[in-house]
Amino acid sequence: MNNIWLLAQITCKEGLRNRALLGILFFAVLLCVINLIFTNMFAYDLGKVAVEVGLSVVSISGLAIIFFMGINLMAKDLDKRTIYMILSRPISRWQYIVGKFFGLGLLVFISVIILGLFSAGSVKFIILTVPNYIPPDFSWAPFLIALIYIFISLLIVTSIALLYISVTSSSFLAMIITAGSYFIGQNVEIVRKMYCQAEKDTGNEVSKQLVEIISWIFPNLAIFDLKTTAAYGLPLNASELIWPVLYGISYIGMILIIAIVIFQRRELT
Amino acid sequence: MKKGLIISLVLFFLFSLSAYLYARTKIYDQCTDVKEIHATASQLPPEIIKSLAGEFKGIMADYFLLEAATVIGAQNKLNAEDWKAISRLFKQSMALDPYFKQTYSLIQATLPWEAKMPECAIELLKTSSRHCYWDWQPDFYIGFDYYYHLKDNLNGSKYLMEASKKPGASPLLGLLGARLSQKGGQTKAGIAFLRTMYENEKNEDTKKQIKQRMDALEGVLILEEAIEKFTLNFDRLPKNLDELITAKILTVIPENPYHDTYYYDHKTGIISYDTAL
Repeated sequence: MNNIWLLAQITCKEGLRNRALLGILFFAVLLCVINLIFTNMFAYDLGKVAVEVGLSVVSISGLAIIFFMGINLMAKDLDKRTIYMILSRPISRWQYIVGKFFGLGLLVFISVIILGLFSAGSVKFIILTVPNYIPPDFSWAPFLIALIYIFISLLIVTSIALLYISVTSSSFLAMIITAGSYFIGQNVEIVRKMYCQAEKDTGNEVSKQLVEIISWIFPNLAIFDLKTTAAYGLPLNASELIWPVLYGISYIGMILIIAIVIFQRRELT
Repeated sequence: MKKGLIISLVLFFLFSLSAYLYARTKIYDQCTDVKEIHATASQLPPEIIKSLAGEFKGIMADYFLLEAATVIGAQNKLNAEDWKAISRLFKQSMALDPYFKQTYSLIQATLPWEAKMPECAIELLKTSSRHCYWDWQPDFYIGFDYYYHLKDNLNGSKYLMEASKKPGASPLLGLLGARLSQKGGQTKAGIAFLRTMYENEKNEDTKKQIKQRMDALEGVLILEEAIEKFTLNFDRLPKNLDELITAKILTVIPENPYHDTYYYDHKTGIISYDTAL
């Protein structure tokens, strides 16, 4: 366990040394400016615009960290052979994968916290300046839940990125495939619904089955998107909130196990 | 650094700067006048746009709305093609975020009036009405469009009554809905609706208003049924309301809480508690 925590710390520190934190802070300030300009282009529901812009920026920056830094951090270990230095110590391969995952997760967590605070700050500013133009049911609880869900969704993408980097040593290839998986994950539910609707008329079972299989392989990331719910303060069923969390954690667990199995068998020459 | 190199760099920078300034002036000269902006919208169905937007549906909806608002705000004369594109932008924005007040407000402010597309506005407003359970305004706009633009009193009354049930709505909407219901030949429905309103209302002044309107509609209903009976018996419409008493169909003309008597059009047989027949 100590080894995993040590690796996680090193990975996170390495990310922070890459001036990631500086980038995140810059993004956070930019977010406030963009939010104020963009929100003032509207006449109604300004709070909704501020919440959606804020939460979208949290998502985008988290994805940017995973795609442009997370993947490179591990690929660099393989490319520059620094992985030998790590694995020559009493650290097993599975600990390396899990440690890397937690390190990247920590980095994403820091980013979500900083940007989440800035986002909440800009929303609060809008609420104070134009209190009459806020959706009537807006409250901070759905906002916080939406942030937690964004974090889980980003952790899923991180685990997928780790899986692909375990399969292929090319960071570019891993980035492309991870981006593709993210895109499929965001749309798999809506495509499945569209196909199910279309199949009722055409009766083509093959494509229906294909979409069904895809929906089992790729994660349904759309269920973690609560931006609209947070923006309008739409009612949330407390008992149903647990299922996406369980779905996300179990998916991450399975993906990490597959990544470990592949990485264990991989020739590191 | 050598002096020659510095001079070369400065000269190259100045050359680049002057080229940039000249090109920029040319580009900005060619820019389209704001009054010549025309609307364009993707032909993609809203479902596809929804799937392409992924988790950024909210800000995509805002973007489509801003695009429509820019064209409308440019104050140029928009043609039928422009309005088609604008209504498509509204549809796409509505599919991505059906809750946004700005979208349905802009739809109501433009489509039924300038674009002369009340049916399209009603269709889009119905999406808002289904989603915004806290907001009475989409139903009010639909009711208004049916009544004012499409001259459909029945549907108008239906949506005004729906609007009056939502939180924050003025009770006057219910009264207006019941009035349209009567004008559309559905007096009984109007009375039933007012009765429910009366039972649920806690404010005494509002209750008094509702009761007054209920009494007026009940009087209209009595007279409508009497006129129907008279027509069946005599194969013609009564010349005035007193004929209903002389024909022994009614013993007394009901009291109109708003005026001295009810207004009756002997050519059409329509009864009203106010002057607007």
